[in-house]
Amino acid sequence: MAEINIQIINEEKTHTVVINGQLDESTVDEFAEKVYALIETIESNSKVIFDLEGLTYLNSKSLGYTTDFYNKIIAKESKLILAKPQANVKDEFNLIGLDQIIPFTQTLNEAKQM
Amino acid sequence: MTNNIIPTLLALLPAILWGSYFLIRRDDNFKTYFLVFILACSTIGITLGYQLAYQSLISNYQNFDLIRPIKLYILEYSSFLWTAITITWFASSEEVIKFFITYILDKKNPELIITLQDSLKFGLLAGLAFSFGENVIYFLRSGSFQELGTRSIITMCGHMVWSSFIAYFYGLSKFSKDINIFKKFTGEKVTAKSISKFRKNKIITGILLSSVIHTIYNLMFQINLKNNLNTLISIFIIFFGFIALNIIMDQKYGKLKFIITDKYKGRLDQKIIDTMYEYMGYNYMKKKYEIVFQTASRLLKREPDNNVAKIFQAKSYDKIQSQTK
Repeated sequence: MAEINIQIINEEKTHTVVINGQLDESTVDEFAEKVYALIETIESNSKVIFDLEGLTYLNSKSLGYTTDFYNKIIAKESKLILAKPQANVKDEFNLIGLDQIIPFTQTLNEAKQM
Repeated sequence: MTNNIIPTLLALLPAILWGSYFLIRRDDNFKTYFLVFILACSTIGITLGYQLAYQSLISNYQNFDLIRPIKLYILEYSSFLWTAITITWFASSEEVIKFFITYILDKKNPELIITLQDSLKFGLLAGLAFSFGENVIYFLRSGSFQELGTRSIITMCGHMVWSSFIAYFYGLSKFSKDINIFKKFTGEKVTAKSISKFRKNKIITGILLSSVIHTIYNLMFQINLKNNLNTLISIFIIFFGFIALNIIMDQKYGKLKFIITDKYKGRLDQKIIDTMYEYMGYNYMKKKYEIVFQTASRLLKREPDNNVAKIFQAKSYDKIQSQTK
């Protein structure tokens, strides 16, 4: 069973979700629940940053959730940014074409300045 | 000699026309097709050979005629039943013999069949060659131009359709590993046992399907139904088969090229590839074919020889096309 550690850091209108571990069938719903709860609370013109440095793998359901998060965040006139993904994780996002709609950054600072 | 050349040329003409219709307009692999056709001409010899050999055997050694007592027993009940049994036997044996051309060629040169269409075309050529040989023999026997004309249009088309159906199912069996991965990720239960079963079932289905259709077609000439219904049924069988063959040949799925070696190693991690199959499978089941097509296309840019991605791409493309029609 995979382990996941999710930490949410709220700084005014910037909300950073730090993800460590793997997102698979056993952890993805817990993760999604936390992110949906966060999206409920954000104001317009906010930024939701996923810090992916510690994420080693995500399954297809997580990819589907990410698309849904993006749609919900956009509906709230806010931004979703994916920061510091590992190469294999970036590959997955690229393959489903999410890199064409969601911005990726190499550092957290870059993400915060977007 | 001249007496044989004229019927041969006359029978060759429709074979060339049918072959051109199905093969030349689609690609230019003429040399291979020509060789398959020549090789497949031997099937008429094999079919006649075993019939003549049996006739010769039983005329010299009557004790070997094991069929006669069975025949007499059945004839006591129904002559039609005996006719149906012999027609079934001849139709099925013809189909199996024609199929062996595709099978032997594939076993000798697996790289010749890398698409479902290749397999289908080999079957089609085997049917064409067999029918060509049959037409020559019928014409030599009867000298009837009318019979030659009818056989060239209807029976020849029938032979192509029946033998290409077997060959298509053989192609499905050949590429069963990749097809079953696709099935697994689109919600079907797949196990190692079921893959082996799938492989055998496809070959059996192909043989049964073509034998049954061929038998029904031949039977229609042995019975008299009201308002020439039997003729209508036989024409319908050929027409339906012809349409089905055209549809299969125009499908992207049938054209996709499979890599037939296990030596190939992809560049992406298998875990990522499996995640992509899962993602595409989920969207395929949700009928989001555009997403599947685009994801498969991106995956193929990274892994150009991935057969499963090719199936996802082709299947979703065909679905998108059928939705827009």
